[in-house]
Amino acid sequence: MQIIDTGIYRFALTSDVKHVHSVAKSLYADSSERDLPVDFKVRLVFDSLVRRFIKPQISFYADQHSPFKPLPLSQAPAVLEWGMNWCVAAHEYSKLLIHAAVLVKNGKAIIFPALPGSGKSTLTAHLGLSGWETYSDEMAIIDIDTAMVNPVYRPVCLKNNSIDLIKKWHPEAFFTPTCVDTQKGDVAHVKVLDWHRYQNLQKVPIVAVVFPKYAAETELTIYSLSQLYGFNSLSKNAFNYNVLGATAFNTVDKIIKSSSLFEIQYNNLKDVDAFLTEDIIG
Amino acid sequence: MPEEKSQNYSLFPGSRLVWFHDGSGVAIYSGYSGDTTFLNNKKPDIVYSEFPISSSNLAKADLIKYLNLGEESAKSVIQRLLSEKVLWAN
Repeated sequence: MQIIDTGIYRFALTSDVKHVHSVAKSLYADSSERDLPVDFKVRLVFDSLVRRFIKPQISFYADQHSPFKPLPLSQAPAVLEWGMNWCVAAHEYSKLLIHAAVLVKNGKAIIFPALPGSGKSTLTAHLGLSGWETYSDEMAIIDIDTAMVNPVYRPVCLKNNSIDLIKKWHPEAFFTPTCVDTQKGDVAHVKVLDWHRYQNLQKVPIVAVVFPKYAAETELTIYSLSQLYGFNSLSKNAFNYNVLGATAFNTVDKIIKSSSLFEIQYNNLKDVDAFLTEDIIG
Repeated sequence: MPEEKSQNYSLFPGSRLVWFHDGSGVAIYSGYSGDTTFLNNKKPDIVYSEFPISSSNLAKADLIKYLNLGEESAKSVIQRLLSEKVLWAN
């Protein structure tokens, strides 16, 4: 059994696949020395003897539940990360979870809710390796009382062309081996924090919500959004909004009232960095 | 129809209305269904007034004033809030 400590949640991993353990170790080994209870017991296993040897497939289990169909063995490290995301999204009801990246500078958080293909993860990885603190690539974990956002110790999931782009811009960063031909295309994870740096991160207030949209032909264009649009979009991007009910409504209200709201279209991350740093963080 | 007879309203238990201070509209949480709906302000130069959430006996005339939509539109909105059980006719 291997402990995967993401700071706020701890996973106990068992697997038939040594490769999964070695990739998990490369991402989380520096975090897993604390003697604390685990939140989720997860397994990556072969469902049948046939599928161990013929076109091998792997299944993810959280306790006895398997939320995904079996996937090719070569995708096992990516399946583990997706499974860990699922565990949190399906079981965390004490905090508001918004499908968004979170970047922090000078103790101020900006959250980036976005649809797939918006360039969110590329933006997160690049800025996370260029002076910003990456609190999350996948979900903003927000306290319901204070509307402050929590850091989580996870890598950034890169897809397709963004893998080579980030490798080119940040050759010193650690990347997991690329899983090819997954349902999301080619996938690799890049480590944007080490555990020592993570331990110094604190909950911080959200000062802006930015909806990014990569557009190859468009220079940085900034649109100010109404509070109504921002509220509507944030609530639709929350994993557990309907479960939390009025609590989620109140938390989104706090975020909207304390945040600047923008949509940006961009084709250059340096321009985005300058806008976020100078005009939002200030 | 109870809303035609009544002139006073309360928020249904658990319901919430949030007025957006940029004038873009109102977010409504129904304590009955758990649904969130929105009213777009079609006159963004006119900002909604926020009535006290603790109001337990709000006069119809005051509610129309707070919604700031004109009487016919406000009545339509009130009808909707009643049907979604955000408001309760006293």
